[in-house]
Amino acid sequence: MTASRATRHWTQLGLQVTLLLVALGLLQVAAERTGRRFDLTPTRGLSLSPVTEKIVRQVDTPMRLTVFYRRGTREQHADLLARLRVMNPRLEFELLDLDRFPDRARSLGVTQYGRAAIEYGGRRVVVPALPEEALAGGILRAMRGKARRIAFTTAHGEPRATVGSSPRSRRRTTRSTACRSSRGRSRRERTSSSSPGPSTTSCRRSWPPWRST
Amino acid sequence: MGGMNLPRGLWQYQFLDLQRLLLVLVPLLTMRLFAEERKLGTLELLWTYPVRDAEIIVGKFLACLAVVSAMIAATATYPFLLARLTPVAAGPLVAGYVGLWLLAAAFVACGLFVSALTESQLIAASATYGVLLFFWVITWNEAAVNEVTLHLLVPFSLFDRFYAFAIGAIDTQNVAYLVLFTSAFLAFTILALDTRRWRGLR
Repeated sequence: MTASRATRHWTQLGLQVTLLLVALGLLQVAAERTGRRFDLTPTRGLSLSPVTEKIVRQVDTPMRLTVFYRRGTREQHADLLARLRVMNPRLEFELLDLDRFPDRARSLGVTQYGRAAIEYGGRRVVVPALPEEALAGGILRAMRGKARRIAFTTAHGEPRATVGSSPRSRRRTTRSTACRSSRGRSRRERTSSSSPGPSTTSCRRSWPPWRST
Repeated sequence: MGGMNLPRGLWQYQFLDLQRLLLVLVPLLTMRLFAEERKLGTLELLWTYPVRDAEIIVGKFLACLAVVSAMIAATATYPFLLARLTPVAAGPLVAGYVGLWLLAAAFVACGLFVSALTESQLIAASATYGVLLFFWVITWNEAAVNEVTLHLLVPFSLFDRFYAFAIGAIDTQNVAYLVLFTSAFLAFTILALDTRRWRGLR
């Protein structure tokens, strides 16, 4: 066989393999985008609950979920997140090993394994990434969280809410106002990350400021 | 463990064990599909039959898959025995066996391809182990690769693809991956045998 013929054959083979891989790759991409799950367990425990589906479908702008897992538990989180993403492609997720990305976790307010930082519309909520209900609750909080407007009544003998009274009351007022106005922000994240499930803010206990000791 | 939850506590682990058994057994079955024929010189005789190359390849693939299917079917004895003692949900079993069968088909196609590349059965078996192990453990060492690479590798992992079947769910994308994996290796086998002709090899 001449060299030119051998070259032609090898080129042709390379082309055939490339075309085959591209075609199969495209088919797989199409399959991934139109993926559907048939949950055959008796309790349908591998499917998203109707409530979660409803919440996830309401996400109308990109939402970013960053989950920090303990090494060896990636698969558990990946399965749930993949199902959420199939439900709504606006959900973007990232799975990170907390031990490898401690700085990234700290910057998102995450200090424990198995927590998800949900970023949506300029807000950030940290919740347990499992079970599904906790994550769905976090998504809902991220969607509904709004900056609270705080109104003060005056001229009825209340302590002054503005800066000016004693340093102690000023400190309390400032702290409480910050807590209320940044509902769902860092302070709440710290509270929620220390206990599973929906959490109450620690700000609420110190409100109103003149009742706290 | 899943406690009294049979799908999670028993079948999941049975299917995960069976997949490892397949990983060990299938290369031993596929190693001689073409390698032995070539070594004995009977492959030339096979080419003289009035059938197309693709038909020969598909025939060998189906024959080997039938043997593996019989082995898999024999394991269904356990659920049947258990069902005599306690109610057993059929759904997770169906999902597991569908996944196992698709996985077996993918393994057989891979072994067939490697067997078409060499005359030595030993090389065929060990190379098949190598390829399958690569697709198996591709994501096992999460700490060794960065997140971007891991994200790219996960879709290719046979272990990750099979896991959903083992826990009782059939995901269409996993079915598609295993079917395409099988098709790809069958096509590669056709190309590999074709190259030996124009390269002047047996």
